[in-house]
Amino acid sequence: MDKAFGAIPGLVELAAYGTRAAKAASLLSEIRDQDVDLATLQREEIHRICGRTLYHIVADRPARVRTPVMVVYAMVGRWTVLDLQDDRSFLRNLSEGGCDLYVLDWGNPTPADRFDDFGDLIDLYMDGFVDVICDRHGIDKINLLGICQGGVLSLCYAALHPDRVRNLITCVTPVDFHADLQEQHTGRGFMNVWTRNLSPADIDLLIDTMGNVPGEVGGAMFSLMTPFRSLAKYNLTLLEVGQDRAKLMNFLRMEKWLADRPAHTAESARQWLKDLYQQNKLANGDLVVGGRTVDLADVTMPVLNIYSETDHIIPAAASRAMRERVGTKDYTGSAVSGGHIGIFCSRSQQKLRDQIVSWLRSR
Amino acid sequence: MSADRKDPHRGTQAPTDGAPIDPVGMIWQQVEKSWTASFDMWSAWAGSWQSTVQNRGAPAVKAIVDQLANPAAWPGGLAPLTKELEDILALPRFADLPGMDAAALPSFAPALELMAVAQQYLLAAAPVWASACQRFQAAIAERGAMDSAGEAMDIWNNVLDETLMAFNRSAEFGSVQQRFLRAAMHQRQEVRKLAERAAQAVDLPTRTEMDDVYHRLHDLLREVHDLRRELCALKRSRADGVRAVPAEAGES
Repeated sequence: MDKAFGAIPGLVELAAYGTRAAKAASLLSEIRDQDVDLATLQREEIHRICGRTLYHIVADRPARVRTPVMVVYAMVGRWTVLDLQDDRSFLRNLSEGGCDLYVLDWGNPTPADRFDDFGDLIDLYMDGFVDVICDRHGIDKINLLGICQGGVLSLCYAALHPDRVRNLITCVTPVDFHADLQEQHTGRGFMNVWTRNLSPADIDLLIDTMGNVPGEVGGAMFSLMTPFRSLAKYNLTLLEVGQDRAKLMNFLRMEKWLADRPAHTAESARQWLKDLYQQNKLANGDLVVGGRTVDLADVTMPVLNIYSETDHIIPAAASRAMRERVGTKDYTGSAVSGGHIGIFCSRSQQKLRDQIVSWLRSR
Repeated sequence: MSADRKDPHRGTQAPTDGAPIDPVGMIWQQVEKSWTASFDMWSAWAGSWQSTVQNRGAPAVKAIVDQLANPAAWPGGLAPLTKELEDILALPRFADLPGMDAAALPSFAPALELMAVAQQYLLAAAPVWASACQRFQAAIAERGAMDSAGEAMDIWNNVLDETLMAFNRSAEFGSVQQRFLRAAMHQRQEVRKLAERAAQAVDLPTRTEMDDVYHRLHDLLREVHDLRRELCALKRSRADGVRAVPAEAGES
């Protein structure tokens, strides 16, 4: 009977598929949303400015890097991906490496925040938090670590307030937003292509109508990058990870992080899309923030620029372009392996951690 | 004529020179006057109609005909035409009459435009699926025999994803996206217009009013921030001054 059953083409495979689906469903039924915990690293709230929060990561060992590090993540996502789970935590790794960490949480912008532009993000919030850290430690400069859009903000901050930044680290940070035209790749730089397909008037129409840009808009853009794979994860991937609880929890944590997309404040989104993606003003030296032009030649402190050659969101060429534009004589560019998010939540972060910590300690 | 006087009871003119009254002539005069007045009225209405047609109708009809004669505008559906019709109906604002401006009414144009965009997307996407199937067949033929349906599924997934990714980066898709964004935003504005009217009717703040409040708050926040910075700078300079005075006194 078994032989006859197995002889029918595809039936055994279908039965195996059914078994795997049942196991995944069984595991999934045991897990509730509250079981999927993110950002469990102990932290304390230090300061709050209009819904933006500065957290201090409580370390269980003394800091080996004397100057504290302020981590600035993008506004389009939540910083919690940097502490996805114990064994995939960029912040935990840095903390264990001896960094005294502060994290800026942009919060959930409401319509009341719609007029916050880059000038406010940099001169009001970031500078306000830098003041707080400096006061706490009795110092006049901090180390700044910016990621993706947070890297752009950190770069602008460093250019406009060079006396407040001891060392600057940027990760997967775009500088030349048109660099993707030189290295075109179907799977990379979709945001650049999509934004350039619109006119500046279209962006104005979007922002004037929507106000803050809802996180769902960003989510839709990311889904368009890999249209089918974005859907296939709910059958193929879920079926695969559903055979193992640890893998399933990892998958669900990432899903929870992806679902938690804060809105982007309207005026800063207008600058992000028009001034940077469309008109490439940061690379051209025309970007005006808070009434002042951002001149990257003013970034004279040591810079460590980390990027990924396989980044599908920020093409590597866009990040590498920083080298020719910053004014520092102490520039280190470092290509790491992994995706845009993967480099912060993969298990193999030892190299990245060691690189950052040793770079900071030597300066 | 100044010698004529009116008989208020008869409503006819009585001759003062003692000439006999001509009743037929009077009837004829009355008919003639009524006819002339009536003709003047209809003539005035005809002038009004002609003016409307010339100033509003003709440009709108010309625009509609132009739209209809332009094949490139056909995917736009009826949306541009409804705009033209709204223009015909629009009136200036009167002080003591309710607003009659047709532009204040919700427009169906964005909704129609959204439907047209959906059609355009389907037109553009149909060949993409055909292309994905062709590429899948080619990939299967190249691969040869497979051990399981799962392998075929993997190939299909990869082929489909790559095909869709390439399409999403194409100028054709960009054009659909741009048109979709514009239509969706205009539709949202129409919905907001209705919602704001409803909010005003029940004394609730509208989005526009709240944005104004937020703008003022934002300006105040910036001002407070700048003042705080100036105060800190003043305190620092004063503290430096106080420290400097004893030091100078010690030196002297």
